[in-house]
Order: sequence, then structure tokens, then C-alpha cells
Amino acid sequence: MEELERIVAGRLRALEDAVPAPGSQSEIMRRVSGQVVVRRRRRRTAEAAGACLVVALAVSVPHVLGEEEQQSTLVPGPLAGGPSARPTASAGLADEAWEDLRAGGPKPPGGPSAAGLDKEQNLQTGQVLSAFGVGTDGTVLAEGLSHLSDGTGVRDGRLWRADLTNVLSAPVPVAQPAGLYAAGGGDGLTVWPERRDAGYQLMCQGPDGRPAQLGSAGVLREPAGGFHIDEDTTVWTDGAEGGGRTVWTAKGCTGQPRTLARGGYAAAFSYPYAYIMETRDDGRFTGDLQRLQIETGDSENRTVPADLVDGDAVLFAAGEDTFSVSDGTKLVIFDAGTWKSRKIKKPLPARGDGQASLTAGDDVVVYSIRPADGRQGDDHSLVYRTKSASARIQPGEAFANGPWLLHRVSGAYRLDKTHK
Amino acid sequence: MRSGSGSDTQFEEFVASRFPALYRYAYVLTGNQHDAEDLVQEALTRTGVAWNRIRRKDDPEGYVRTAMARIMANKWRRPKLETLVSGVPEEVADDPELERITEMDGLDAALSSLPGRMRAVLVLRYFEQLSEEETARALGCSKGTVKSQASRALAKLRLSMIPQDDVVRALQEDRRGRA
Repeated sequence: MEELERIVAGRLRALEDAVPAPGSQSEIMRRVSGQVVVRRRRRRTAEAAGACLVVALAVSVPHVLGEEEQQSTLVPGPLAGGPSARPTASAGLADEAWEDLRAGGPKPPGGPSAAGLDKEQNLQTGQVLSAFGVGTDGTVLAEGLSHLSDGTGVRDGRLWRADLTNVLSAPVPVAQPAGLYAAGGGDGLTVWPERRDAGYQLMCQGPDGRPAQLGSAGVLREPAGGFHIDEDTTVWTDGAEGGGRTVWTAKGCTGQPRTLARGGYAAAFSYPYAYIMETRDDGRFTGDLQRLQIETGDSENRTVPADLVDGDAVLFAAGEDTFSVSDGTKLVIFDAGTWKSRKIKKPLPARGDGQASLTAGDDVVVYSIRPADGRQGDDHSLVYRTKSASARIQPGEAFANGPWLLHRVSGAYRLDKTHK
Repeated sequence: MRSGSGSDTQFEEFVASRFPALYRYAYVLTGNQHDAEDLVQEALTRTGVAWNRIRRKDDPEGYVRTAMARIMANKWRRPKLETLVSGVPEEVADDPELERITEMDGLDAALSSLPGRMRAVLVLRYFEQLSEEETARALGCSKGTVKSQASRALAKLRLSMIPQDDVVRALQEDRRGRA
């Protein structure tokens, strides 16, 4: 061994005297226990997804984040929709599309391999789908969108679901509710709001395909949703006025809803933790919140800067280890366990008149802007990787959930797995 | 993790008894407390998820250590925007002992700023005293990768131990020579 190698060995050995910080063992063990539960559930879900997923992942090329372990698959895209779309077997894509997938992903529109996808898009209505987001099981929920000659989009108000396990089949219509503005998905679960006389009611469709009503007290209409789904659990704030609001949770579509908190607002949810913001009488946030373990009822009091949550553009998102807040100009990410915060230095994409969304996966936080008039090409996203503390702005809207990152690339949606 | 399961209890007992040692290893791999905590947490989570498979083996600690080295090598790429040093650099003086300390400070700083894969290779090769083949097997990479990573890491460290004035002077002489 050379002298330098001996010196290096000595310097490394000197580090071996490190002692864990007081309390760190119990804190880390608490986090490990929580994450083991979550990942075991996700692993079971992924195993249930079956061979179709394996095939899809094997033929795709990760390219957005450039991580070695990232895996990627494609959702036919832009997701084909419209009245002519129908549920099919794996023949939902033409042979050319199979070749396209084997070749590693869709080419920009007009490229030779995009033809197969175009066949699905060239429906009589010319509709494509515009995603609401991605579920923890890789489910993509979207609305039909027709583009006019001036490039603006007209939404059809119909909810479509593209399942990762059926990635090669056409999306299936789920519902055509009045006032559709958001939707979420979990393990075999699709949840959406439906306008009623006295506000909005949360609806749910499970594996049996029958729509069911979640609770009876309605749901608070929020641009960002007002409800959250992770795995088979939904958390939402009901539609009562002011301080009379209640935060609820339910398992599946038929589980009896139970109260999580009286008053407050369910800002975000990452199973098993719900983040419930305290509100003033005028509905504004005080900056205080509870991090509530919904299975045990254990609660931790947390605080975020009041000026960060005081505006109208505030958005929240929770991931496995993070709680994120954006006021439309900056993004702040809190470590869910220690509550240490970091402000992302990279400026957020300008919102303008567009719609903003904030979503979080296990190791990705995404702030995304899309134009309200449905134009494509004016949408941008900031994708922040929590592990590497790196942020990048990319064209196209994007959404994160669990291990998934859904993002639009040159008119097509791509679904990437951000970790194994 | 839901309590009550026998295997889960075994896992908790294993962690309770071996946590300090695992943390120390994570600290050697990362060089700082924050990253060490993150690393040991991630490795234990993966171990907990796969515990039913691992516990049949006699060496769960080896599994966790390997997991830490691999995570470090493959995923731990936190950019080092700043490096903590033990003190404010003093003015240059002709004191051999002080020179030695300065060299060591430079070496520690360079060690801290190495990419995860390089650092993991150094830990396995020189701290664990593994051979190149064993290191490659542990990290799931080729022997050639181990050799090149170790070589590049040592070159960086060697450079860090040369006083900066000498580096500048050497570069200037090199430029003059080329001119």
C-alpha cells in the first residue's frame, strides 16, 4: 500500500469514532418503520401490476432526470380519448406503436414512429387527454381536450383513466360529472368531485366499476383539489363554511368515512400522514399545522412561515419524507421528520394567467404551470429531486406521486419511475 | 411497520443492537452527520422491506453495510456546495508540523468533496481492506471501474495535499513550457 493509501485509510478510520446524535436512533427508527410499511404496500401493488408493467419498463428509456436507476414507461400520448375511444386489450396501440415503444419512446409529432400513436389520436373529435395527475399506482387521470384552430383547448368534462397495467390499451371513460375540475387515483381507486346544488360532492369508483359517494358533507372546492388520495385512502376537507369544516378520511370507496379533525384544511396527504392546516375565520392559514398519523391518531404540531401561506396562490404537497409549500413565487420544502426547511433557489416558472399545481413523489417535488386556455407549449415545470437537491426547469406540465413522475414531452405524456 | 409480527420484532431488535455500528459505518462513508443519518435510514428501510428474505442469512449487518455502500456509490450525489473545515486557514509559515496539518485539512476537504462512487470505493478498498474484486462485487460494478475510480480519487487527493501556491506555480511553469 502506498503512503497516500495508508493516510487515506487512517483518515477514514478516524471517522469511525462518530457517535449518533442524541435521540437520532429513535427518530430514524420511527421513520424507517413508517417507510417500511409504505414501501411494502407499494411493492405489493407493483407486484399486482403484473407482467405488463415489466414489459413496459423494459422497453423504455429514461431520459428526463438522467438517474441511472430511473425507469420509464410510456402512456399513449397524448392520451387518446373522445367518444370513439374504447377499452381494448393490448391491441389498443397499432403495431407501429409497439415498434415505437421498443425503440425507446415516442418521437416528436411528425416523426416516423409517432404515426402509430397518431392513429389513436385521430378520432373524429380530434380529442387528446389533459392529465389531472398520476396516482400512486401509476394511474393517469385526465380530461378530454379538443384543440381549436387557434391552439386553444376545449375540455369535454369527461374523466378518463389510463392504467399503467393497461398501458398499451386505450384510456377508459370513468364518468362525466358536472363541474369536473380535478381527479385523483390510488390503488384501484378513482376519486373526483361532482357539482351538486349545494356545492361539490366527492365521488369514487373502485375495482367493481360502480361509482359511490364518499361521505355526505361535500368537498371544499379548491383549485388544487381539496382532496388527496394515497394508496387506498382518501383524505378531504368537507364543504362546510368557515370554521365548521371537518377533515375526513375513508378507505376505498365503501369504507365508512371518519373524522380526522374538526376545523382546519387538509393541505396534503402522504399515507399515513395527513397535514392539516389551521385556518382563521376568513379561511386564511395561520401557518400552524398538524402532522397527523391517520391510523394511530398521533399528532405533531408544525409551523410554516405565515407569510408563505397567506396569499391566494399557496399550494401544498406531501411526499414520503417531505412537506412542500409554494406561494407561487418560491418553493419551500420541509423534511417531514425534522422539519428542517430548504428554499429552492431556482425561480419557479411564471404562472401568468395559467394554472399551477404542486405535487410530490417519494423523491421528487414538482411545481407545474399550464395555460388556462389549454394551449400546449406554454406549460413548464420545475422538477426538484430531494435526494440530490437539484432542480431543473423543463417544458411541459408534470406531476409526481409515489415513485412516479408523469410529464408531457413534445405533446406526449411520459411516465417515469424515479426510483426502484 | 406494523408491530406484532415476529419478523418485524427481529428486525427491530437487530437495529436496536447494531445501530451505533451501522451509523459509524455510514459516517465513514459520508463524512458528515446529516448524510450519515440519511444513509443509514435509507439502508435500514430497504433492509426492513426485504427482511423476510435477509433474516434467513446469518449476516444482516453485512447486507445493510453493502446496501449503504451501494446507495452511496449509486445515488448519493448531493452536491457539496461548501465544505466544513476545522478552523480558519492561517497565514503561511515555515513550520513543518503546521504544513502537515494544512495537508491533512486539504486532504479531508478533498475527501468530503469526492463523488459518492469514488468515496465508496476508497472506503471499501482502504478502510475495509477489500481487494479490487471484492470491492467490485460489493458495489455491483466491474473491477475496471473500481481501479479507475480509486486511481482518480487518489489523484484528486494527492493534488489537494500540494500547497496551492505550488499548484499555481506548477501550472504557470507548465504553460511557459508549452509556450
